[in-house]
Amino acid sequence: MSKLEITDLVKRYGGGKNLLRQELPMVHAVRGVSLDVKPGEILGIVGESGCGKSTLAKMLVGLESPTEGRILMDGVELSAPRKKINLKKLSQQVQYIFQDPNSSLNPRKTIREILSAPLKYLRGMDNTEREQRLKELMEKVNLRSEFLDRYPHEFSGGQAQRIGVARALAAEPDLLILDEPVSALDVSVQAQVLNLLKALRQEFSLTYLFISHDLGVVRNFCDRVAVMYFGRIVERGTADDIFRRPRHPYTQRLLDSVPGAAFERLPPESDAVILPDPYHPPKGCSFAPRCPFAQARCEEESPELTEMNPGHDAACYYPLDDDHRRD
Amino acid sequence: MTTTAVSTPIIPKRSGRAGPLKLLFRNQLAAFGLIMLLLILLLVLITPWLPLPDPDATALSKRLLPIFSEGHWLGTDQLGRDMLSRILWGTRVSLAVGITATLVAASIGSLIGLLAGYFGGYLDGTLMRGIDMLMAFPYILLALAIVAVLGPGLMNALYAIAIVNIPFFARNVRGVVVTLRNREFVDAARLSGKGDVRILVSEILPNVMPVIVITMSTTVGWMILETAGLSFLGLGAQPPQADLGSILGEGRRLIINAPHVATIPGLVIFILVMSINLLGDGVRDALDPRLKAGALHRPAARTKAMPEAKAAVVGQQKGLLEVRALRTEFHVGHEIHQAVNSPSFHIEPGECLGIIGESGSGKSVTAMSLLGLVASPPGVIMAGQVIYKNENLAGVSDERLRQLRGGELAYIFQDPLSTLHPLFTVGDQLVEAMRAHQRLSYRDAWQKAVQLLEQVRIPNAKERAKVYPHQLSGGMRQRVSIAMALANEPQLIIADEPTTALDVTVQAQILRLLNQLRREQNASLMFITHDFGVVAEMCDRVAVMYAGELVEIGPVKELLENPAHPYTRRLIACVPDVTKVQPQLTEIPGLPPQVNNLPVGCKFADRCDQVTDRCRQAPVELEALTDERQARCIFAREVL
Amino acid sequence: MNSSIWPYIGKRLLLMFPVLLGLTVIVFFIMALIPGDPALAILGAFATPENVAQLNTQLGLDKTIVEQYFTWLGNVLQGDFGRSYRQNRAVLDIVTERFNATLILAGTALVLCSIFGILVGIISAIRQYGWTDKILTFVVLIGISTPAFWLGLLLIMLFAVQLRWLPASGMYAVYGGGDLLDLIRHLILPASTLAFIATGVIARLTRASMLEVLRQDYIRTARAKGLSEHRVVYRHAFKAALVSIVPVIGIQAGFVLGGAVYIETVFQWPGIGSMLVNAISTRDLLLVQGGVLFVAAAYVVFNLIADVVQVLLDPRVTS
Repeated sequence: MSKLEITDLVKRYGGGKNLLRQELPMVHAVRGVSLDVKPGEILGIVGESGCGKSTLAKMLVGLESPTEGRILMDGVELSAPRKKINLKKLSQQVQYIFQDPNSSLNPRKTIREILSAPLKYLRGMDNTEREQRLKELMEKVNLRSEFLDRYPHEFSGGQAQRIGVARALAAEPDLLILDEPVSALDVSVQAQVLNLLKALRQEFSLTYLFISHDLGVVRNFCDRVAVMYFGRIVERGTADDIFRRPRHPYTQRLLDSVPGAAFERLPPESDAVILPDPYHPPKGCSFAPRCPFAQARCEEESPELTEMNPGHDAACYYPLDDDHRRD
Repeated sequence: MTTTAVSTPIIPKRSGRAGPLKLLFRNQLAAFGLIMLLLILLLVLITPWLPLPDPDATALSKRLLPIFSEGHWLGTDQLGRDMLSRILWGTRVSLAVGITATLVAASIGSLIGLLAGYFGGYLDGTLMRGIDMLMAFPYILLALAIVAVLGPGLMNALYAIAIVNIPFFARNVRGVVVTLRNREFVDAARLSGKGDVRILVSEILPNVMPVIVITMSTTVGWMILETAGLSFLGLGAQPPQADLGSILGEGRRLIINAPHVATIPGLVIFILVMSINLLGDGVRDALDPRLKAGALHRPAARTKAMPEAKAAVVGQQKGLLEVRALRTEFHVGHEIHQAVNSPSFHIEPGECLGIIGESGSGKSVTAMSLLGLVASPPGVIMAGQVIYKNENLAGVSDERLRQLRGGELAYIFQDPLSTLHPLFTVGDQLVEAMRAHQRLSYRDAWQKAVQLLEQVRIPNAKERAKVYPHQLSGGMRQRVSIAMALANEPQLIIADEPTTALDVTVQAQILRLLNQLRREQNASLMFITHDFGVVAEMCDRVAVMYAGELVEIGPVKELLENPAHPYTRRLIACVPDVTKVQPQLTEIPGLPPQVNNLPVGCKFADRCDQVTDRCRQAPVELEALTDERQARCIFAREVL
Repeated sequence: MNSSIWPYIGKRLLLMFPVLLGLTVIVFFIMALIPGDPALAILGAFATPENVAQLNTQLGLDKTIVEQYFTWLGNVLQGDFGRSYRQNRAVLDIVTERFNATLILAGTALVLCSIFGILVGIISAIRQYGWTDKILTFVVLIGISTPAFWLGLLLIMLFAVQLRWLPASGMYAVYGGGDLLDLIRHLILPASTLAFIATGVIARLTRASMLEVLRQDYIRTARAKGLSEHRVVYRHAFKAALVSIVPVIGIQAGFVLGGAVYIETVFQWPGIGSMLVNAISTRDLLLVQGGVLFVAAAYVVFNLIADVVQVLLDPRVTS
């Protein structure tokens, strides 16, 4: 059974009508995402800004409620449209690690107060139990327990992010949603946090959903990868498949764009790239206006994810072949 | 645990920055206000025990005695009542009413602001429309209308003044709460199992308190003034009760015969409110976090340079632009942050020099020091030289510097949304850039601006020239910045992380464009970045910076393949490679040293795995390894 | 000019009507809350019960409060604000006559305080922490801390009583009696008092916004382009600062209109403020109602103008 199963998840913001019965603008942030995460794996979600990856993450932890679609965890429904989410129960199973470590820690609270909250409200620990657990948590993330009485501004970005990890672990979750956890950090510190996360996964048999725009990090950190473009998953498969045998032209475009990596298998992109309008999503493939291989059909119909090789799906009518050239 | 090293203890960042109380006392005017206010409070508190006549005891035989009369220091009023006694008792009333009104307005207003800001939606809409309605009345007029309804009287004046001031608190608090609500720590608290009430009370409120205190300290003075005003008009305190305003009001008919009856209470109101406002300003400044960091200083037109940095050029200049032992510091309070520690390098004509480093390495400050764009205060160029055409740029006249800026030496900055002026059209900003350096009519310049936009491949340039920056996408905005840099045919373009804020596919386009255009114009490029991939793609040579020092410089290919400095080597190893999977990511343990507390020897010693005692004893010099390569490591020769 | 601002301005105009309607609701219901029998209040303690009942019917007070409101609103829309029982004249006549005098005073003060406030603010910001800045900041603080009515009295004592340069009161020129010079002579003291008090807020805000703007990245860009410092400060920084100064001038219009209440009382200026104070103490409630509504409506219109100016300055507001 999957750890996490998402079916046809949709999130729209705005919409409705104003007092004069005019339609209000509606943003289509996530436009039908289906995913499953296996126990103990790291699933990476890759995409550029505005592709809906952060909205997806927020729905998984209950900070946003989906407009349509279902989220199942261990086969149990976590949230459904128009149903109030039991955030407390959900938070005991799924936790979240924020992108900006400094903004995710309240500047007026000590680390002790910050870490105590989940122990108290989610795990119902009393004072002595908590004291013990706080020390353990700090040790797990390689911070000294003297730091417990300091304030967030006294920590560097990497240290603050480790406090964020400790807070997530305090809830004893099975699944961690990591939303760009290292993109605010310098490269040398980034590796510290990533290695720590890998070690913790082993120790607590955690499952990770790892969101990032950094392809190098995703390749080195994730088991499987899903590529998002404009609210949809356009390709998913093992990290090896995605990076060595991409099928969707957008995935190839992303790889080509990594500076210094010298993939460059597609012709350079024109300068008048048209990005899709989130208020009025196109009916066809949303990558078609940028795609060097787009045909008439791509503008008319939206391709579904279909299996290209076992365990490797792409949503494209004219996928690339193994030599990165279309048939 | 695995190979992850236990983090070195951090150096607390507590030093240097003063606490709120200390800041308050550093401000002499505020301290003066506080002392005055305390004196007044003390006087007013002990008034009942002072040997003073009854403030309401009339003595018609002693009417309108002038000040300094025997037994009546401040004279008497038209009914022969002792002015000193009346003033002291009146001050008591005025203060009590002012403070009570402030507390009432603060509690109700802040509550409205908290609820509206936190819950948003319909509650926000309803509450804030109500507040807007209150604000739709001219300030004192609403108080008048309320008093008109409730009838004259001190308590009614208090209610009126409190109600009128509720909107200030509600609006200020709501504004802060709205930004706080979207901060990630509120989400984090929610995921820690806290409910709305707990989040409001224990997460939001502590962060709003400074705003409430600031608003209180700035409104309490007004409220005292306004209550006095209502009493002055005869709508507040009613006889025999008297506050400062009503005493003044009664005395105003006597200004010709007995001016003291009106002037003294007015003077007391003024002194009282002035002390409160002086203190209030101090409180506001002490609680404003930006002031603590010295960020509210106005940056001067160019970075301050010490005489040593302005010295004339000696000897022959290397390349197009040469930097010699440049030292830029930030002076914050008593602390000195050594941001740039004497890097020396030069750029050849037509060359692209990369400057790479992590945050805090001094790479951007180095770039901005070249044309004096480091904000000053707190930045100061202490020593060194920036040489262009045999002139030291830190020493040239303001006008010469202005001609070079955006002319032969152009900049492109990181975030194009904040670096373009939001209120001028794109075309207007390009025209301005050209007309600062060339004699051109506005129309001709506009024509050229459209051509420039076409040159940076902005589709439909003619129309796009008329739009404002916020109407363009990030990539398009950065193209505008490039167009602006190219406007006056520069010799050197200094690009400070120009693609860091952009998505990877857009970055690829911008890099390609920048490379192509600068080759067409044969301009040199100084490219500041933290990304080795970008360096590999763009640059001929690269300089690596760490803790303000240049630790290594050389041709890109050689340096990347065979780094001589351990920091470069390990930094390259840290970068997760998109072309292959490493079983374990390499990490550099620890943190860079704080620039306000740098070690004497090698700055990287604490994190280096090859460190010896020799590394820490004395400063390590940059050593030439080959014609083109230099590194700041005593083992560098052994590596190559 | 950006064409997309017209729909926004239209929307703002439309939004003004609910605000005006809200004002009438508040003003009406505040007055309706007044305890006691208005008829009794009007007719005095010696009225016969028949007279009271007759007046109640005449005033429509036997109907429900909502019906009363709509009747009243209907009348107000036709320009009928009722009659002042003290002066036995139509409220509208009194109010419009008085309103002119207030507009002259408050308008002059607003223009003066905007000009001086902005000038002082800019100079303070440019000379930040220098002596000029320190002195100006202190003077501005004095302005904010001074009771307007007291300052008025002091000025009367100095210029009217001691020096006899300017008249202390007796402004009748607005009614058409005196000439322009006479009007100006009478205007100088009250308008400068009001302006001095109101300058502080604008000066402080201008200083703060200029300092805030001067730290922005786009100012660094302007310098990096090679613009002269003069152009950087007066074109780039000032325009951006003006975006936050204009709404405050709108708010100051309310402060000046309200402050006129004190100043008019002190200088016996025949404006709406002194009229209101009199009307309140004599409980001439219909006059209070009409006066408050009139001034509030004027303030709403003024804020609308400030809003429109802001939109013209800042293209981001409309999108």
